[in-house]
Amino acid sequence: MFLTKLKRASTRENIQHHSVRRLELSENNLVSHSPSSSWELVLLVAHYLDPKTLAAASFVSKSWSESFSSEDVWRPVCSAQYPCVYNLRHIDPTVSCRRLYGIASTAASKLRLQKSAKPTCP
Amino acid sequence: MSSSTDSPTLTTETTQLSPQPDTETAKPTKKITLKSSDNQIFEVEESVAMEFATVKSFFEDSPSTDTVPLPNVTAKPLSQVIEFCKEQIKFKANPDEAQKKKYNAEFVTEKSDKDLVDMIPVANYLEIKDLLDVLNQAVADRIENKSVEYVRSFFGIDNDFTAEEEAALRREHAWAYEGVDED
Repeated sequence: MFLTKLKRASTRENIQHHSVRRLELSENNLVSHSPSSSWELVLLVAHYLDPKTLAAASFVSKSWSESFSSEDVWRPVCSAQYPCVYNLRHIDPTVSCRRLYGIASTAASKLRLQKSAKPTCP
Repeated sequence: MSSSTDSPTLTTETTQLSPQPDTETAKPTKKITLKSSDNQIFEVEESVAMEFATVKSFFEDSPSTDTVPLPNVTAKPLSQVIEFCKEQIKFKANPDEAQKKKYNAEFVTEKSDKDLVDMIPVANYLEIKDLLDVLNQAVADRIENKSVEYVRSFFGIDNDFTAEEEAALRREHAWAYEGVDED
């Protein structure tokens, strides 16, 4: 899965970003940060998941759905794999990146099916 | 190669009020006590504790402390995290990328799903970048291309969608539900 690798590389900065925030919290003493909750886990793991698993994880529960449908999570995924579709966002900015990704991925798999049915398609 | 602790001066021009004691020099024998939220005491070498960026900054703020309370960390994941960091120290002293990779892979392979999931927030809180990377990757590998139900039980999350809501999700995002691996 080259895409997964690509994404892994591009998300390093997000993680660092997260750490910086944590550091600010812990500056004065170590009591300040709330106990680990599942949404925190979600954000940490999200950047390591391939798009399909990311989607599966976003339908696990309501709170996960909220965290996982964040545009910050889906923007890089969508723009990396389907840049043309991603650019359609300018036409209708209300369509979420996850939705765009879903549309593009469904279309792509249909195309693949057609191609495999007609291998000598000009 | 950065085995020397004599770090280059990066931020010295900002504060020059008092000469800072050189806390960077290695004192391998010094022990630091960590206390988990369930009141277990862990005595670790200073070099190991300094792998935890959170603990390190705590010490930079209050160098006279001898016990560091970790109110968000329970004993089990903490002991596993310490175990990992002890090994990393050895690799720092004796760099061997192949061995390190092998150790890291074995470290996660032998852990249960729950162990991995429990360690992630701890590694994040203590800011152990390498471990966090290893853990997140391991979790991602274990749930790759799995069904929604599998991912749900992997993380031990309750399904709070109603049957109707779930059916709607399946309709709307069919691509995410189709073609997943058997559990």
